[in-house]
Amino acid sequence: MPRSKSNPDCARHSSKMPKETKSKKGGFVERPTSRSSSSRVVYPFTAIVGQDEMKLALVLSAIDPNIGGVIIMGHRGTGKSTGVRGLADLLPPVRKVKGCSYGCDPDRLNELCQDCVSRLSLDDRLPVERDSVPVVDLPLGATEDRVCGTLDIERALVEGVKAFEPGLLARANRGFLYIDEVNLLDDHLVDALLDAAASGRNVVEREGISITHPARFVLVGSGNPEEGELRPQLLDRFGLYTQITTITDIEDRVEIVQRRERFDDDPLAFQTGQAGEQGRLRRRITRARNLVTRVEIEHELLTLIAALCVQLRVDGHRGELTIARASRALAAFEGRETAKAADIERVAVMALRHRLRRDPLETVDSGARIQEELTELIQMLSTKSRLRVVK
Amino acid sequence: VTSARYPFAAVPGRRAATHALMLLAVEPQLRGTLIASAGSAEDRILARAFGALLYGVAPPRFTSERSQLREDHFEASEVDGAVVELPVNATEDRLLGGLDLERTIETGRPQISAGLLARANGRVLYVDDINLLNGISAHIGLALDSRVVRVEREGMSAIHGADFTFVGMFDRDEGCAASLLRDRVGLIVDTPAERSADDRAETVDRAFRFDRDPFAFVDDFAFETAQLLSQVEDGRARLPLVSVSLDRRRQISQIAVSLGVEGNRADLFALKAARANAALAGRDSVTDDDVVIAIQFVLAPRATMLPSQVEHKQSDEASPADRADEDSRPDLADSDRDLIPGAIEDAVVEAIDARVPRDLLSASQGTPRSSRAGKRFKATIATRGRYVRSATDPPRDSRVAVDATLRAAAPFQFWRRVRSELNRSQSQVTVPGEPGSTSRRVKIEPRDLRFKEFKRRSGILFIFAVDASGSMALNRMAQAKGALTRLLQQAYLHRDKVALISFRGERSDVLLAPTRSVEMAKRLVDALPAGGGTPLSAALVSAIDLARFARLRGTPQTMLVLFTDGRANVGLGDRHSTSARATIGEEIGRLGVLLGAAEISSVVVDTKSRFVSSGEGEALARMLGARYFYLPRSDAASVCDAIRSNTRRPREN
Repeated sequence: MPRSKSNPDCARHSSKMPKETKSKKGGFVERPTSRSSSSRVVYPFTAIVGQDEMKLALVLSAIDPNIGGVIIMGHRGTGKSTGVRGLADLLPPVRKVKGCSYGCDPDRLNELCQDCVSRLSLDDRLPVERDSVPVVDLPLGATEDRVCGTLDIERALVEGVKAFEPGLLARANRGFLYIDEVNLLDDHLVDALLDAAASGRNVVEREGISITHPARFVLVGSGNPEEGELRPQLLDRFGLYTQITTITDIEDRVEIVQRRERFDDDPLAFQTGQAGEQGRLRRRITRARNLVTRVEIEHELLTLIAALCVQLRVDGHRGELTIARASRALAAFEGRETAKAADIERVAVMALRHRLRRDPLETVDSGARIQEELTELIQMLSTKSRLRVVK
Repeated sequence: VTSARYPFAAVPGRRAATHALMLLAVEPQLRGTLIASAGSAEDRILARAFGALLYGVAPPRFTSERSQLREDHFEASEVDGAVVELPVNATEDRLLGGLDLERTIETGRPQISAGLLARANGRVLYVDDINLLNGISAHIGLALDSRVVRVEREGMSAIHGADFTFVGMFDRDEGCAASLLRDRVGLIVDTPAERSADDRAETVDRAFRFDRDPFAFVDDFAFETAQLLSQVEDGRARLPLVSVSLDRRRQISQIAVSLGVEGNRADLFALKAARANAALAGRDSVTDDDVVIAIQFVLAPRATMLPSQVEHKQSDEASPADRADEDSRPDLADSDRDLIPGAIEDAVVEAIDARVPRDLLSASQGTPRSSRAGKRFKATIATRGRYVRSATDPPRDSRVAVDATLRAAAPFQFWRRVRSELNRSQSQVTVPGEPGSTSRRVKIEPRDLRFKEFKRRSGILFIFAVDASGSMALNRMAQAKGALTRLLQQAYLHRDKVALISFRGERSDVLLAPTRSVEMAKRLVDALPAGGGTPLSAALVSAIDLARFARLRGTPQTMLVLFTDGRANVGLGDRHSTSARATIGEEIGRLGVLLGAAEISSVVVDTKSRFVSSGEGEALARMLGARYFYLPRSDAASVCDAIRSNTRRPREN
């Protein structure tokens, strides 16, 4: 296939290879480090037209990883994976233990991996470096050994050493694990993911290897519900569920096409053009990350959240926690130290949409139902507080 | 140089397909095309000829990591110049790549083998029948999107360039499988190949001439070929200069919205197609003609509604689901309509009309397909599915799990090398020159062998055949819908597949081909209209057909759930329509036997109210060898449970 200059994208990708290409395996194997996913020029996050709910959800989960990740479901070709891939560029670098395969946090001694613990016992300080947050792709065709990690064949063959080769879960520690077309992921991989996501650790017992390492990652998935549905257990693991639909505004659509064309013509120039916006958003996220732990949420608002979940008969407490965390992250994103009812209003639908009991005869969108209940509760709350003021 | 290629210019007929491929040659950013099949031999000629055309314009240029692949990795059968053919029985291993056993043993270091997607980098990837791609089409779609293939398999981790142009053929009778793929290629040629008897004769004649003397044949078409090449080259040179006015852009987006095209990717493809067409025609700006072409190849095949349907819906009493849909879509007001000139509107309607699949009934009566498909089924079943884990005991017909075998062998390598060195020094004093090379080889013994355990997606296909005749409208259609939705939900929980057939009037319609998407099924059930006769036989034929196709795709067990009031009054075909009820009865009896032969277990859910029932439902169940449920008496939940418990048991006769 002839490649004229119409495809600079491809050429750039290939020219990026050399540094990592000369790795140990077979000449052209790339051992992606955390940055490698962004070694291609990706479409800038801030240049995405519309789709505000998706963008907000992604930003919130970047501010507070404890929200529990995002799943983006909706029509094909609406910028789902573009949004996720663009996120990597917005994440501020973090402190890591130098040379650790899991990127342990030197400030959290109780979460260190076995390697770091033994290093710490030899020397009472761990070497520290600043590195980017990993955004790891979990491809659909991955095999379980590469996801969980297993015996390093190469070292076993060449050196006769029984060594552990970390898998994708290790690489994703303290970062994001992204699964495109998540609803097509094989069940046995989903099982492996669920275990790790629930415990924050990956336990490997295979081929003579026995190891446990930290695997705390933010799960991000995207897919089209018409291709197949998600297992409820997996769905429940995602903090926020955002629905994305085709943009039908003609002017917006024209703008989308024009931007995409400009990007395809000259990705670097396009990126430069968006650098200001990107920088602003990156700084805002960094500030919010520092602020979020200090954001207060009033008891009254917590009661409101609980009432909402009771009203909607949401099982478990993950719904409440997610709303609370997401509204704090939203407050921090807007530079406030207290969360407001308005914050809850903006995040509740995303946090609960996938947690409502499925009524097979239901034709009303669950999002609309949540919104309705919420508006009612907030009205009640405001009349109550007004009464109190009067008293 | 070594062999002549069938020239693109010599492909007779198939004007739509060749036009689309020319657009693709001019604008590779269109990424690929799906073409309605016209028989695989002809399709292959077309695809190969397209490869030859591209080859003629400029030889494939490889990205750097590709060029590091040793050429001996290309099996001659798969790679013909610019075209890499993906066999429909390709496994995930072959598609994505993995550990290369031979070279790993040779070199003593793990070596990766590139999958077909990586091998297609810089070339054309051709698939003969995408309907038969079993679950692997998603990988192709993702590679089209990202232009790379991420390998995380068998201990190997790599990113390979996979920037290819996709050409796939699909069978219109089997609907549009692989929706992910449909979304990621720019052009879709949905119209069947219109070929006159002359065209057919010409095809055979030319193929014959090409076989007899390929070089002479190529020479015969040298002039046409040169013309095409210069057309493509000129088109490419002109492409960056073609301007598209803002109004044109609006027009394209407007049409996409009015056709209910999902996603925003189609707009971009439509624009590229229009522009490529203008460049090919030697124009400097996009005109109406170019937009019509864009509609034909990009927008119309993705349409989910007709522009005229919007008005129709508004006047009609629409179901709640429809109404919700409408809210999210802007109405096509008269003022907007002005943007679409008459010619284009006609093109839209025409293109969509052509899409309506041939009557399923007549398709099912053709017999040659089943023999062909049956062979495929047997040939590929043993190694289909996904490589899940490895085992020491080989399952039948299994393949070696390379990674696990190497891991098992690895710890013993040192001792085995020592041992073999000792053996050699005992038998022979020295082996000059080569000890280094052999000792690095990996030594594998039989007990190291591990085998791949494949996991097929199992689950049951539920075919819901819903009687939507006039009598059903009286007999608790609502209740049937309730039971149906509950069953659908259960199918969702069990990861089963569902298909939906409705029958009324003269014929049955497959509303939903086997899918896992309960959302879609639910939407369709909600909108199910009722009225007309009861063509039960037609529904049974459709169900048998669906079950057969489903089995080919790895869903071996089928359950037919028939919602009816049991009064069939329309037979198969015109000949029977005037004949007596008894004849229809006989017909159903025969179909019942066929159901049994196809190993489809069935359930009849009688929806008739008790007062007027004369045991027709029970009689029907007897004829079909089906279990019988009476809906009005039992509530939806208990019917569901009963049906579900019935499916797991072996069929009793």
